[in-house]
Amino acid sequence: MDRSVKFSVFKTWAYSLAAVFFMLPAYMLPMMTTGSLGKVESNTIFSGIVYFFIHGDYFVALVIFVASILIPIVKIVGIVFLLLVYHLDVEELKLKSIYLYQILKFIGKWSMLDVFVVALMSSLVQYGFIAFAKPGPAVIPFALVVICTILATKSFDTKMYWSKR
Amino acid sequence: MRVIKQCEYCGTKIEIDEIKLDTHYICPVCHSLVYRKGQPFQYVFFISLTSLILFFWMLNMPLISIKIMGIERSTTFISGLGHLIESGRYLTAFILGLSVIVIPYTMLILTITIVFAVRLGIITPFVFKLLYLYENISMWNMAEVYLVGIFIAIIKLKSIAEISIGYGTIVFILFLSTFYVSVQWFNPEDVMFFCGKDQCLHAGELYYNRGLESG
Repeated sequence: MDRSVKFSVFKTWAYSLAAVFFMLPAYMLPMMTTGSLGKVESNTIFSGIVYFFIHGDYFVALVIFVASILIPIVKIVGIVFLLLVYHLDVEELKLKSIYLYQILKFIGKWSMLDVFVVALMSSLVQYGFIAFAKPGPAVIPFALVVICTILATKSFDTKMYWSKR
Repeated sequence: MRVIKQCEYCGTKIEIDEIKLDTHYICPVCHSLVYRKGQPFQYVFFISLTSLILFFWMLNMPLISIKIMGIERSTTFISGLGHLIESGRYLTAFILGLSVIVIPYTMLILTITIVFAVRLGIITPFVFKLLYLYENISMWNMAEVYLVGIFIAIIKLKSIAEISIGYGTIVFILFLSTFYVSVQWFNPEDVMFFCGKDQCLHAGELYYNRGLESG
């Protein structure tokens, strides 16, 4: 096997595993801490979605769910699927995998949405004791999940499917 | 002009006899887009320049203003970044600054430089290095994600404060529209049409070997 192909497969696995590793703190730790009149509240991505759902903001809940939970998981599962098609050399799935790869490439950056919303809100809501918002410790691991999945997609080359011949 | 292009997804080599401006060329094997001719370089130059002017204009304009208990605050791109840095969120500031400000700005500067150089007949290895840089950084541009982020932040904040959209958001939408047009119109591979085969091999060997051959 070509060394560059081997290295490309290795890099894709490494970035995917790194993304899975960062997922744990990204989903377990608070994404944003808000406070109003002395009452401080920290929300993880999931509890934030539940909060908006309970308060009737279904649209915001749906957008955050899709961008922050669905897309990263779909991306990681999709990349692993692409790698398995390569390793198992499944001829009939190779062309279909190209469509999947193009979808993964397109949706990649949209997961960064929640990071930007948190950054925007924390720079706006700065009223001291009255109201404040600040980024939580999950922001960095979550951004790293997004970056790792983008790098995993970038390092995968669908032409590798035909390199074994 | 005859062009041989390799599909970037399945590696199939496709021969195109004559490139047409209004035609998309699809790979017969995997049906991916193989080649789409960009618009003339003078159009690309002017739209990129417009976008660059809008970019500088939007940086210091308020994106959103909020009012809580009569106290109004607004945020701009620069103040938002400044706040993140002041509060010690360096990595968040770095990601935001890079993907929303530095990358779009660099892409515009590169487009203008490349188009200008090629129109003046300056086709050197350095121009091809810029082309590579353009193609490699474009995937990290997340300006449109930030725009959606502004609208989500507005919806989130409307229950606790009076919100108003600033002029910065409108200029940002205009910037994104022109930027998107610039990206769509500029096809870096079109630079190959401005050089002969020998010049291509000399100046952009890697580009040439990647699959686009003109003759």
